[in-house]
This record gives sequence, structure tokens and C-alpha cells, in this order.
Amino acid sequence: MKKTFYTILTFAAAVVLIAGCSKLEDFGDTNVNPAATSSPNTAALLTNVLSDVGGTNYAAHRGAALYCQYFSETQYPDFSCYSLNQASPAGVYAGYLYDLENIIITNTDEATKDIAALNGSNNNQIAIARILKAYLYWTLTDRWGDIPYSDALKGDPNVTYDTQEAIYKDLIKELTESVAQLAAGGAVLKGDIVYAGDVAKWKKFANSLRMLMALRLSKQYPGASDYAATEFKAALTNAAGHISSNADNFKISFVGGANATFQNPFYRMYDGRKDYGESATMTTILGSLGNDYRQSVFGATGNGAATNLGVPYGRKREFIDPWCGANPTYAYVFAPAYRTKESPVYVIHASALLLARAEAADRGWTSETANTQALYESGIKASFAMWGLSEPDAAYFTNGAVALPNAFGTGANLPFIALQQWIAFYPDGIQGWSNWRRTGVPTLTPALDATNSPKVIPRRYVYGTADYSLTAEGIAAAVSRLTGGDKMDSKVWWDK
Amino acid sequence: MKKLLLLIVLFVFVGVSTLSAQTRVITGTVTSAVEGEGAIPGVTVQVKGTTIGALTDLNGKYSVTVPTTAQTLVFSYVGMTTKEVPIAGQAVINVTLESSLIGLQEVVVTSGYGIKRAPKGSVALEQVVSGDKLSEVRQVNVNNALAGKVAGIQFQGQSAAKLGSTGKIRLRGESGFDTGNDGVLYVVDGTILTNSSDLNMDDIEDVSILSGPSASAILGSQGANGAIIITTKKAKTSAGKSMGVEVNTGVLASSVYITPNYQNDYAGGGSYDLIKYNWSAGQPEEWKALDGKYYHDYSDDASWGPRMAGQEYIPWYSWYPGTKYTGTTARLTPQPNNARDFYGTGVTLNNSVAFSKVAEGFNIRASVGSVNVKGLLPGTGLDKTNFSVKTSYDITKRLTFGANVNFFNTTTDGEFDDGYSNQSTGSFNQWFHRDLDMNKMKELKDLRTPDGVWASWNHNNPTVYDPTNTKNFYAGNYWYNFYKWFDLVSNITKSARLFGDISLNYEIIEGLSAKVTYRRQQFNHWYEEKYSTDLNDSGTQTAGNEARVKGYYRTDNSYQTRENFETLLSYSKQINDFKINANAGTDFFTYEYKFNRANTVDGFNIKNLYSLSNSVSQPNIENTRRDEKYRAAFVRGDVSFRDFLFADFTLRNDWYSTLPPDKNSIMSKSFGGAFVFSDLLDLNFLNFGKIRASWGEIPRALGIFSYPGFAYGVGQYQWNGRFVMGTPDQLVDPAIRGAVNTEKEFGLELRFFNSKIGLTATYWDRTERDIPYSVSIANYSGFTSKLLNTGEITKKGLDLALNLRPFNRPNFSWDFNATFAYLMEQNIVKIAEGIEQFSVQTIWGGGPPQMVHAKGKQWGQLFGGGMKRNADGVPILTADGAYINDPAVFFGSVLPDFTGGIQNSFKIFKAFTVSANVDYQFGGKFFSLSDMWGTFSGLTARTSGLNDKGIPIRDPVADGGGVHVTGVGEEGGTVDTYVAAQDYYHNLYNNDTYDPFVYDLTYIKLREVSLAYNIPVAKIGMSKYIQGATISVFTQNPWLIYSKCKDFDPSEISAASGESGQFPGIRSIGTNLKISF
Repeated sequence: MKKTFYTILTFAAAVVLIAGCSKLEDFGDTNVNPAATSSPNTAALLTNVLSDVGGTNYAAHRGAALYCQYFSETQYPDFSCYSLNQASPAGVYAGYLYDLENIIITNTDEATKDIAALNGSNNNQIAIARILKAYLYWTLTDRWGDIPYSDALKGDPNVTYDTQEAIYKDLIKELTESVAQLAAGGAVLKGDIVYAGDVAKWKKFANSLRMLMALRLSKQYPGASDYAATEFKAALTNAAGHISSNADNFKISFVGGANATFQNPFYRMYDGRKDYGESATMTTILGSLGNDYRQSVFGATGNGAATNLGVPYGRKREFIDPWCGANPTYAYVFAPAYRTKESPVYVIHASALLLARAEAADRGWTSETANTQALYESGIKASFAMWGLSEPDAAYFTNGAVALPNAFGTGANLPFIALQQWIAFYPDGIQGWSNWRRTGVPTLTPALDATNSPKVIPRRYVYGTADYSLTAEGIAAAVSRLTGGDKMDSKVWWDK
Repeated sequence: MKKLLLLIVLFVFVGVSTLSAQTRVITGTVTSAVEGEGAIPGVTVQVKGTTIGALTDLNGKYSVTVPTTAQTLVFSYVGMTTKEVPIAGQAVINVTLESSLIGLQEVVVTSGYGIKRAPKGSVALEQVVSGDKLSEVRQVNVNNALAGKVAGIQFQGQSAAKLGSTGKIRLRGESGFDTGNDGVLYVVDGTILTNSSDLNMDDIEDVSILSGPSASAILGSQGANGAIIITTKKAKTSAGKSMGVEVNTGVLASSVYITPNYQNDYAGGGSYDLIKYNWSAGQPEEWKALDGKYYHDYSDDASWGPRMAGQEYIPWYSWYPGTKYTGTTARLTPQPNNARDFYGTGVTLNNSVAFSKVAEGFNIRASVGSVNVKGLLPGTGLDKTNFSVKTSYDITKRLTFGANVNFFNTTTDGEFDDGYSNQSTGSFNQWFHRDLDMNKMKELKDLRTPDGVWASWNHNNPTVYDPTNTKNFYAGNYWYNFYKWFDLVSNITKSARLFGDISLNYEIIEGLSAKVTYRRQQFNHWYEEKYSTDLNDSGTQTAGNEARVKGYYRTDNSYQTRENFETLLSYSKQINDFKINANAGTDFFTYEYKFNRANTVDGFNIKNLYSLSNSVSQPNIENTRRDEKYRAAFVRGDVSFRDFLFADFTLRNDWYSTLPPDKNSIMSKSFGGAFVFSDLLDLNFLNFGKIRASWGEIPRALGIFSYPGFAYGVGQYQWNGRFVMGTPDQLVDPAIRGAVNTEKEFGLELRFFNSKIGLTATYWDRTERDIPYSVSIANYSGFTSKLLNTGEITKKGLDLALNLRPFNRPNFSWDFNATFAYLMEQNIVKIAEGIEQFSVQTIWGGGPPQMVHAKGKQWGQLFGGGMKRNADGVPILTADGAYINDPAVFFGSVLPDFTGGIQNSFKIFKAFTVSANVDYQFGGKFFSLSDMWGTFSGLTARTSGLNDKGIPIRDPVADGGGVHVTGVGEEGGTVDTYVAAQDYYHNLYNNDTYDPFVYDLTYIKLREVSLAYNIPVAKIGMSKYIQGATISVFTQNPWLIYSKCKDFDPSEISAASGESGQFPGIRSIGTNLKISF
């Protein structure tokens, strides 16, 4: 009995010993991921965002390029027949928008700002993040209209949807302030794969965005002393300047090569598939302008031969799939030399700004009315030059479809200027489609085999199904503000 | 913790101090008369007319101290006939008990840490299925074997074509906010396995099913959703022999039994008319013979083509040079079985040998098993070999050493992609030509052009022929010859799993023992994937769907260990009218996981050289290290009074490394009681009657590295030397902690008429609260999800089991076992502040039905795009007759309401046993992506046939064809029109109206039938060599008796909310020979 008692004691003691030695609740760093760090590197966040600005959700977006008929679908023509497109803008918020917000937070927070300053001055990093946020928000609101803005990116999922008007005005304010916030000097800005830390160029980019955003409001604010003209003029006359030469273009020069992640999106468009072609709308219009040899860039056959054969737009699969089979020399989007793995994607370029100025001048918004013709021509020339083409000859500008026939200062030349804008923005569908909604130029025929109910060209993207489940209250308010409800043919605020 | 230890020590003292002396000792062993069952632990041995008694130990041995006046001993055990034996001065009384009932409750219940007990005293539903019930139809998978046999189980199987897949078990509905992937826990001889794939079914003694927290609290956090406790066989004495050998050899043949219903009227392509071919200069000379003949569109992989009426046409293979078919035509005829013909016959060989030896103070059982499967898909196979040793050895009279080692070695070959657009069902059911002759496909598998392009049925149309680039025409547009695909893709998985334990058990005094155990599970895994560059050379657009066809090599290695160091103190004692069993223990766990993976990107520099360094672009690499620990201490005990009143408790505390350090302690607990009222009533017809009630609560821990969040990784690809980093998308609530599953249950167990009728009914009610879950939140917040304690899910249900033995005659007996589970509710009461619903699984993007959890609704709703309807449920149509989208339609829950099964077993002339297992479920929905694309592509039966005017729907509307559509108009009024068939079915997709592709999960299925014959070895004079021999023939999935869905087997849907390209249902027939020596 005594022996038993001792055995139990020994066992109990052993249990206590095991338990006591290793402090049951102390696990040291067992739960620390050895492959991650807890503090962000702001330069790496910036590179992450910039690496995709030339991607398929922004400057190389396909959906809007189908709506404005830059491209046609060759085998599964649902989008270009206006099938219901329930995409949500939300992904961008959790992705790149928050990365930019994180740059701002890390450069503001007293605990982290000194370390962040090793990647460039706090102010410059913040200003660049604000400019890029403005660009990303701009591409979103132009597609969806009212979207979460003022209380977004704060970690709180209960967001309201701001009106497009409020968003536009705040974006313009952000750009204005960013230009003032940017200052030369301080540590070399790291992670900037677009301008290599050149602060002057970032200022030009910000002013350019402000001009283009202001011009987008021309339907809402047509008058020369209205909000749009005022903002346009202010940006135009800002001492920091804007993008007026191709050397200042905001472009993403893809790394390509042996790096599969950072390849040109149009290279990837044909990397194994051929879902898209250059639209017949584009080839027809270019063909009508006399000798507009931008077609040699905009499209070529699959093996690179020159062609003017665009793909018929908006036809059902029954028609278009056999058509492509019977017409193997149809134009792909871009000639192969312009969609290599390394080809750049242009986000904002001189041609867009010069043509914007020409339009503003023609509208009598600015003091450049006398310069309208020169701005128009230099805008077109900048577009040719951007694609590495020689300047069009003088005959091009006297062609009836190009020459500006009307007196300047009243906006009467808009059909011509906006047509050149439509061409110059190719292949950036978000710009092209927005500009078409604003100007109605060119005159586009809706898809012949449209499947949507009114069979008209969509004028906005509808919200995603997740938006309805996750932001029920916010979205209800936004939808109630839309005339016609959450439909593709309801109009965003600036589209009136 | 200190308190707990004090408790353990005190407990032990109390037990020890009550020892006192008696007058006379009787010992003995109780064994079962049922063949192969051996000794029975937990038998009540009682002096008749008194409360003096004992229980048999794990080896069936008992020792009872009786007054000298005692006359008779009563041996009782649930499921066995009670036996009374006169003592008559004997000191050793060995008893054999007869079985009273074929049913679930014959054997002991095993709980965590190997703790066993008699079911008579169990306070919660603890079902036990014996090994022989599992292996009536020889299985390679325990989940499959349990289907229908246990109340409250839903088995979600997978097609048998998908080798190595074990399917999934749901116990009492689903748990948590996920898709339910965390599932149940598998415990084999005390070792937790991460899945059920490495088990030798012939080694299984029995399986105990602990349905939820009231039964599984001893397993702590991991057992929160219930547990399946598997006990393997140990060496047993039988018929006085000390050695035994058992051999099992079986073979199983499998073939397809259910495929979707296809249309068999129209051929491939996108245009209704055959296209005339005109030879032109520059095209191959041998094509001249085809000049003026007709072909259907080859490049479009849909079947909206011409009517198959036996007319002459140019088949796909005529264009390839160098065969006897070159330049020939054929007749365009339906091929109703082409998809079915693709799958071969699968063959499974299942063999095992087991040796047992028992000697004084020593026993060992060793087994070797092998499963060898040739799959139904070309080039697929599985080889699994295992050996297991289970032994114990008495070092001294009180000290016993035990060891238990299991080793499994598995090689799986082949590609088993069952997702969208996979190269078998992904074509047959989604994008295909209904006119294809699969035998021709097989015959021409090796057809290749001089330029090296493997021939495809989906090549381009002759208009694109270019003599300088023949690939453009000859290569597959989207698809390859299916047989060639499986030649050119090779996947191999090799894995080695070692698990088991060594233990020392010391019997301190009689009734009190201490045990220390070291357990280890080690899993090493190697994976390799090869895609030939020939695929790229033979396809025009295929690389866009599947970049691996550019040429691909991937290899993975993983190393995983799970170690437990356990101590267990066990005490059992009878004190006057009370019997006490108590255990106290600790469990320290360490988990380590290392994983490395790399694959080539963008193809190979040198063709078909499978090496990472041969990658065109920078290879992709992945490098993962994960660690987890927990430490646990537990006590459990049960007390019974005169063997009719029972009380039971369990307390377990865990400390988890994954929880926030300042609150990483969580406690699991359960309490319960049972009352065997039949012992007091003494009713003749009622043999056994018991009510029980129990309550359990198990908190759940967190996943590895989920706290504290905000871990920034570095992107492996750089932009010209600049590295990238993204902000983590998950927010973590700093107050995150473990959360709670609470369950209460009430049960009633009755046995009537000499236990010919047995009924078990259990009502349970479970609440899950403050679940640590990563909830999808509006991404507008800057994050996609937030990990927090949230929500409340309430569940209620009823589990019923009925056992009958309507006949029990020497030459004929019939056993009937039925299970029925009713999931009365499983409601999402609360998600989180401001969150009404969130998505947990999408089959295809955001538009089609996806699986969501929505506040106030049943768990797991299918939600998404459907037809907009008016208040009366009538679809609203555009003037053209197209449905209008309603983006927010609830189609119903993915959970069935009723599940269960019925097993009938007949014994005829002692030698024959016929068994049949039917299982069923009612309710629940799933979404079929195959059906959606199959309909889009004109493959499914619904895309053909006649409209109400008796005219083919594919005929032009102007000619009376088209689909008749009726509904209400957008502005009111009615719409009644005909829509061209192709437009109608395309519009379902274009307008996001997916109602037709949501199916019901309801089915009744004859899952298994077997016929076994016990060869009379004595009669044929073999008994000298052979103890017994049984030969059986059986079939699996012989008959889907009832199913609302005619296209798939609803018991085998590949994902929780639907399927995206799953393999067909498989039927098998097999035979097995079992010999024991």
C-alpha cells in the first residue's frame, strides 16, 4: 500500500514537472510566420500598384474597349452584345487603393514615418499616393457612377456610396493639393517605376489628370465660367505644367522577358487565345480619314501582315465564329511589334492633353481659342509620334473628315476633335468609352445582336452581387439616385 | 492548471483510501460467441440478488470478490443474452455470451485516448459499427463504408473515377461559417489522422461515432464537430489456438452508370447547315476527293450543328494525311454513348494478410495489405501498400509495453481534374460535338501530321488552311484527342505515412494504472506534374485556357509531423453500490509542416526536358513553414449506482499556440446522466429501457498564423530589381479568442421482445457562438475579410436508429437496421454587426448561384442570379422573350433535411448471407456548371426536341420552331412568344438567369448489395487446414432508385454547393474470398 502511494506520488510529480517546466501557456514564437514581416515597405507597395496601372482593369481594360468599339469579340461575343455585366469595383479597394492608403498611413504615423522616409520624403510619397488614388478612383467612378469614397479604406465595411459629383470634386481637390505637396529634395524616391522619382513629372501628371477630369464634366458644366472650365483653366495655367510632350507621358514599360507576371497585357491577350480583334468600326473610321496609317499600329493579322479588315462588331456567336474562320486575315488588336512582352502601355499621354486643350479652346473655355488649330494638329501629331510613326503630311489635315470647318470658340468643331480623341485614346477603353458618352463621337451603331433589353450601348457598369449582400444599405441609396435603377443603360452623373 | 493537478492527485487519494478486504475471489474471462469478436470488455459480472459485482477489463478478464454465501453470478452486456452461472465452488468461471441482436450496440464504445466503456452507461449518442458490418462489401474507404449505417451522418462521396478521394462526412449538419471543410476528426487507436485515406479496412475492429460536443469533449477543440474513432484489431485467442492467419483477396470491376442526358439529334459546330467544301489550289492534293462534299463546323466546340440524319459528311479525321480515312466521307449519325464509351473499366485488386499470435503476457498482430487500382480514366492508377503491427508485452506482471505501428505507402498516377473545361467531362458535358465516335477517337489516338501536330476533332475549318503554317488548321482549336491528352500529361503523387505509438502501462494497484504514450504521425509527400510541349504544338488556343500546355514541370515536397506526448491515469473501482471509472491525463502536441514547391513558367527552352531550370520564364517558387502546439490536461469520470443510474463528466483544458498569448487557454466540458428504467420496471416485453441527457461545450481554436495578422510577404517577382509587396487583405480583431460549440442532447433507448426490436432516439440541440471566423467584408473597407469572433448558428435535430430481427430461426434470420436523421434546423441567427450575408464558395464567378450564409436563413444558401419574377412567381420577360435578371435570388440551402439508410441482412441455411444497404437524403440544392455550359453549347437533352406545336425547337421561329416562352412583360401584360433555341439558351447565360441549372440533392439509392457464402470447411474435409472461408460477390451503386436530378448522382457532388465538371457516377461489381487459418 505504501509503495503504491509513492508510485502515485511519483507519477503526479512527473506530471507537475512536465507541466511546470514548459509553462503551459508560453509558446514562444511558434505562431510567428517565418516568411513575413509585420511592417510594410512603402517603396514595394508603390511598385506593386504601378505594376498594374497599365493592366486590364485600368489602361488596358477590355470591357469598356468593347463598349466604345475599339475591339470586337471573335468567338464568345457576350460582352459586346451587352450581356449583363455584374462586376464590382470593390476588389480595387482591398487591392491597390488600400496599398496607396497604406503608403499614406505609414508616412503619416509618427511610429513609422521615419523609417518610411528612407524611401523618399514623407510628403512626396503621400502626394504620389494621393495622385494615384485619384487616377484609380477616376477609372472606377467613370464606369459605375456613385461608389464608396469618403468613408472607404478605413477598415470599416459599413460604407456609404458617395455621389459622383462629390467624388469628382474631391478628386480634383486632391490633385490640386498633391501638386502643392510635392517638393523636390529629400531622399531619392524609391519604387517609382514610371518617373524614377522625378517630382516635376508627377506634378505634370497630376495637373493633366485634373484637366481631363474637368473636361469630362463638360455636359454638366458646359459654360466657360462654370466649374469644369474653371478647374481646367486652373490646371492648365498651373506653373508646374502638364504633359505636353511625349517625353512626359505616363506609361508603364513592362519588364517582360523572363518575368511572366509583368508582361504587356496585349501580349497576354493573344498568349494562347484569340478572343478579340480590332473592331471594324475602328478600321472603317481610320480608313475614312485619308492616309491615317495609325492602322499599321492598331491592328494586323495574326502573323503580322498589314490589314484593314476589322472584325464585325456585336454579332452573335452563330455569325462571328464562322466569320473569323472564313476570314483568317482579320485584324488582331495591335500589330505584333506593339504587343511584345515588353511593349509599353500608355496611361496618360501628350496627345490626349493637346486634344483636350484644343477642345477647351474651341469651347471658348480658355484663352487659347486662337491656338485651336495648332493644338489640334499637334495633338494628332503627338499621337502618331507616340506610336513611333512619322508625322502625317499636310494633306491629312485638309481631309474633309479631319479639317476643322467651323469658327473656333463655340465648340462647333467638337465632332472632329472628339473623333481624334477617340482614336488617340486607343486602346484605353475607359477613356474612349467615357469620352464617347460625353461627346457622342463617333456615332456608334449598337451591337446588331444585342441581348440587353433596350438594345442600346451600355452607359455604365452595374454593381456586383456581392455589393448587394455586403453593403445593402449603402447600395440601396446609390441605386435610388440612378434614374432607371442599377441598369447598364442608366446614366452616371456627368453623362446627364 | 495548478487546481487541476490538485484535483487529479486528490482523486487518486480518495480512490486508494477506500480499499478494503473481502472473503472470496472468483476470476475468469468473458468471450463472445460471435466469430472473430473474442473477449468482451465492460461486461457486468454481478452476484445474483446483490449489488456486488465487477466489470471485465479490456481483455475480457474479471475478478470479483464475493461473499461465501453467493450462489450465482450474472453476466450481462448490452446486445448479448444475459447468462446466469452457478458458482458451485469454482474459483475460475469462464463464460461465453451469445449475441442477442445484430445492431449497433454490440461492442464497446471507444472515446478519446483509447478510453473504452460499455454502452449501457453512455450518456450521449455513441454509435459503434463493427468491422464486419463495414466490410460486408469490401471497401477501400471508411467514409464510404459508413454511408447509411449511422444515424446523423451525411456522406458526400466523389466519383470513383477520382482515385484516392475519400469524400466527406457531415455529422449532424454542418459546423462553422465555412463550406464545412473542417469536417470531422478521425482518430485511429488514439492517433489523430488528418484524413481517412490511409487505413486498411481489413484491420478495423470497430468504429465509434461521437456525434458532437456532448460525446467528444475529451478531444478538445479538434473534436468540436464530432469524431470518428477507429479501433484496429488486436491479436485474439480463438478456439484455443494461439496463432491465426487471415487472408482476404478481392477484385472489383467498375464502369460508368450515370452521365448527363444529352441530345442526340444535332451534330457539332455553331451553324445549323453543313458547309460545302470547295478545293482550291495550294490545298493538299488528297483533299481533292472531298471537293463539293459537306462538313460541319469543326472549330466551334458546341453542338448547334446540323441534324444528324445519316447524311454524307466529311468527318474530322478525313483531313489528316496518311490514314485509310484520308479524303473519305462518312455518315452523320448519332453517337448516344460517346461520352460513356470514353471511360474504360476500372479494376481494383484488394488483398491483405494478417497474422496473430497470442501467448502468456504477449500478443502481436501483423498485417500487410495492398490495394491496386487501375482507374477509369486513361493512365490513372493507384497503388497503396501498408503494413501494421500491433503488439503488447508484459514486461513484468504490472508493467506492459505496447506498440502500434502503421506504415502506408501510396503512389497515385494520372490527372484527375474534375473542374471546368477538364479534358474529359469538361468537354463531354460542356463543350463537345455530339456526333463524335469515341472508338474512332481511340483508334486515331496516335495520328500525327508530318509537321508534328497531334490530330484533334476540334481542328479548324478548311478555310484557314495555309500551306506555310499547317498547324493553324490541323491543331486543336480548344481541345485535343482526349486519349492523347492523357498520354501527354502525367501527374504522380507519392506519399509515405507512418503513424502509431509506443506506450508503457503500469498497474499501480488493482484498478489503478498509469500510462505514458508517445505518438507520432509522419507524412512525407512528393508530387510531380508534367505537361508535354507537344500540347502547345498541337493546339491553337489551348494555352489560353491552360498555360501548362506550353510545357510544364512542377514538383512539390512536403514534410509533416504530428507528435503527442500523453500521460493517462486510469482508475476503476466498485464501492458498495457505486462503480467508479476515472481518468486524468495530459496531452502535449507539436505539429510541424514544411512545404516546398516550384514549377516552370511559360514553357521549356528545350522541348520536353522536364526540369525546373529549363523554364522559359523565371520559375515560380513557394516555401512554407508552419508550426503549431497545444498542451492539454483533462479529467473525466463516470459513476454508476447499481448499474442503472449513471453520471458522467469530462473537463479538458487546452493551451493553444495559435491563440493570442494572453488568452490562449480554452476549456472543454461535458456532463451527462443516464437512467436505465427497465431494471426497475421488470416488464416482460421490455428488455432494456434507458433515458439519457447530456450537455457539452467545446471551444474552438484558431488557424496557424491567423493572429495577429498583418504579415507582409515579399512578392517573388521583381520589376527590374524592385521588389513588390501588397497589403494583407485580412483585418484581425485584436480581441480574437477561442469560441464555443454548445450541445445538449436527450436520448431514449429501448429494446423489446428479447431484444428483437431496438430503438434509439436522440434529440440534440447545438449552438455555435462567437465563431472565430474570417468574414468576407465589403472590400470598400480596404480589406476583403475580417477575422473576429462572431455569429450564432443554432441547430436542432433528431437521430433515430431502429434495429429489428423479425426472424431468427436456425435456417433463416433477417436483420433490419434503419437510420434516420432529421436536421430540424440549422439557422444562421447572426453573422456580425452590419453583415447580412457573405459568400463562401463560388462555382463560376459572381453571377451564377454561389454559396452564402445569410442572416435569418438556413445555413449554406445558394444565392445569385436568377429570373426576375412577379409576386406570383411568374418570370418577367422582355418583349423578345428573354428572362430578366434578378441578381439576388435565394435558391435554397445546400443541406439536406433528412438523411439516413436502411440495411437488410438475411442469413439463409447458416451459410448464405445476403445484405443490402440503401441510403437516402431529402432536400438540399446544388448548382451545376456542367449543365449551364452543356446547355449553352447545345449538348444537353433540353436543347433539342419538339415545342408545343410539335416542331423541333431548333427549327427557325418563322417555320414554327423555337422555344415557347410565356410570362409577364416588364410593363405588365403577358408575353407569349417563341425564341430561337440557340438564342434562348445563350440568353440564360447572357442575362444571368440560372434557375434551370439548380438541382435538388434528393435521392434514394441502393448503395450496396452483397451475397456471402460460408464454405463449409468441415464438410469438405478441410477443417484441418482451414478454420473458415467466406466467398462473397457484391455490387456498389447498383441502382439509383429515385433522384430528382437525372443527370448526376446527387450523393457524389464534387463541391459543397455544386459541381464544375465532375466525373460520372460509377457502378462496381466485385468478389472477395476470405480465409482464416
